[in-house]
Amino acid sequence: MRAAVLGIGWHGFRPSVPELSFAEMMYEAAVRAYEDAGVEAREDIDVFVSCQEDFWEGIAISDEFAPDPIGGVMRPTMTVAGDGLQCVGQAFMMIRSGLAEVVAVETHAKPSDVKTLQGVYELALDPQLRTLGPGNPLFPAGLDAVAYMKRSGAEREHLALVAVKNRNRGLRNARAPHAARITIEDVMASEPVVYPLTAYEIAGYTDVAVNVVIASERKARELKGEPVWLEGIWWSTEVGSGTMEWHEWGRMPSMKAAAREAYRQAGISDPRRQTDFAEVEDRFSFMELLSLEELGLAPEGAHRLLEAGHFDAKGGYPVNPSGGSLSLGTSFEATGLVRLLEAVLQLRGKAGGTQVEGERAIVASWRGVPTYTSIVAVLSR
Amino acid sequence: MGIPGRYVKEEELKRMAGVIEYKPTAKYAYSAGQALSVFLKGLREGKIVGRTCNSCRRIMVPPREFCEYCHSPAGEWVELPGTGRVETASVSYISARRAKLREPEVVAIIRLDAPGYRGDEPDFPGIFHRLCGVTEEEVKGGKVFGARVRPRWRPEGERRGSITDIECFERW
Amino acid sequence: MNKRGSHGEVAHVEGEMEVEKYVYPPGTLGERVAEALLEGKLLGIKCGNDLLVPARPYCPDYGRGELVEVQGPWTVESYTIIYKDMRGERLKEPQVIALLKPEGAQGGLIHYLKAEKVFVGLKARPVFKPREERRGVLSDILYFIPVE
Repeated sequence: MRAAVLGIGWHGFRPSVPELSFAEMMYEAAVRAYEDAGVEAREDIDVFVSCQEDFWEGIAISDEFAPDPIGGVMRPTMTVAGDGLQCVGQAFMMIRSGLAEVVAVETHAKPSDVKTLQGVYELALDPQLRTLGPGNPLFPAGLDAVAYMKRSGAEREHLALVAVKNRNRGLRNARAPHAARITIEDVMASEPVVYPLTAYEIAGYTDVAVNVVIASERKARELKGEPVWLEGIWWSTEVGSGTMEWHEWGRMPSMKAAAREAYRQAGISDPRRQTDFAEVEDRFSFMELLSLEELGLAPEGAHRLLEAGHFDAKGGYPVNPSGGSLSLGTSFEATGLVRLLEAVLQLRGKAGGTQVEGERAIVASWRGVPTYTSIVAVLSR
Repeated sequence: MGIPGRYVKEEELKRMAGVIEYKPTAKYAYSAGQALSVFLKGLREGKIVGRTCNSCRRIMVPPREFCEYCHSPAGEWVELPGTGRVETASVSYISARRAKLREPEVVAIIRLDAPGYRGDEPDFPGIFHRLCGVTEEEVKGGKVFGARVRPRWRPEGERRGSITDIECFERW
Repeated sequence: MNKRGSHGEVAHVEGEMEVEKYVYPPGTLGERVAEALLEGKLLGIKCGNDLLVPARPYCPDYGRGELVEVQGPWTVESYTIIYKDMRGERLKEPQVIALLKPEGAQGGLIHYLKAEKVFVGLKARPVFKPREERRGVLSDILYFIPVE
């Protein structure tokens, strides 16, 4: 049984949503997704899946807070400590196996509620690394960026160009609070936060809740919605943050592995020809280039195609036409679902000012520093 | 083959090489949101407010923006008298921060009086709070169950929009 | 429904994930690695023909490995310089953090590097704290410095 994204809803997309609690944001996103899919929360949805992490919530066993706002009370609800796309993966399995006909997937993030973001990031590091007391726990991104530049030959200007492309593009997207009119000169003149990455090249934080309704083909046809087919989805964790030192610096084997399996499910052998655009990981500028290589969307040295405008919205293969995470911001475990949302709206032809042409898209996300978990999905109209 | 490892006493753990002690820094400012903000403001004014579900008509205390059973938006606000009955109670010998209390504390679920409720519904507007003037024995013997109680409010100037604006519930 | 938004109309509540502290014991293998650190020695794990650093009680393919002492010199595989914290506040001194790989090994150690000129390929060695200040943890090494 094929699986479809049948409905999608969101609430927030601001650096701070002080007027709503996280549960109220979850409710607002859920109501909109269920309306979009044409389903009744308490009747039509078989399983509810929520992706979240206790320390992002500031609540121990926060799983127990998942059912209420999304219609899951006294119904099968499960939580996954992972990116929202990993929850979509769970839904995909339930639909494909025939276990469920309709699954609601939820993630939310209120970074503005976390007063000590740096403290929580530090807690995610291997305890040995914490003994060093690094001044910024995002340093692993710097290590990967320098290794990537060394291997690929990309210069700092190329990394800056990713930020310029995505931040400017986001000006067309009403959901992108961190979009800005910037130039390469602005980026290059800025003192790095974590070398070689400047603040322009590190995504900001955004409060958001996203809810996605995944349905079987039968149900999708019955409800006469606007299905976007979920052709494949896979995820992978390499050595993980437990032994970061064993990571292959300047590469992302987890993304390569996830892409290989997602493509196999979707019957894709040549992603550059068989897909039309992609929403890929870019919470750090260099990650867009690295992701494109690992996804097989560019040969090694992706910066040369970037320079030639190949990944612009009007280029040969649009990458992050939404403005990416650099414009939309990152939202803890909701980041992947935000990118899925943008791809779904594109495939429905409802992306407004950011609309590009395309029938088939790739969505690739990462769980962010200090993890080495990546998720890849293939979607089509 | 035995299980790898050995038993380590706490004292030994303190001297052992390679032990890492770490205190996390994880502070938050939880957004109370639409419904709880009104509830907290009510407490400051010495009122307990609830919210009605448009679908099933139940009254929710603490109030919410939505009813989790009907998954529909909440409707009218209702001010409750604050009086009620002890639904269930327990004795706590430790504080919320796990320190041993000098005097044990009686905590209870209060079934609040509310329009349209008979008092035997499985779902009811209620509050979790302390009971004052109730002994350990009264709880253990089950005597306090069903007792009529009302909130003992802190003086107006001391209330700050928190559940602790009610000092406790007391018999009357 | 209409939502309130005026200043003072929406509240927030302060709180924390209150944890006194976590105590991470090193484990049986970790204890040997820690004791070696007290002696100013760094250990890795031999998995077949591969030497992996830092030592872990398992090999990446789940096999059991042998602890071995790791010899220098260490080579800078990658590095970064931290100028600002997550709030954008400038650190008093920029911190150079490097991934340093010992000869013939996979992985390496992530640590501070003190060098006039930092580059990939730089050879370095660890500088330890005085013996009495060591606790058998990564920060027993103060930083790495270039090998003359």
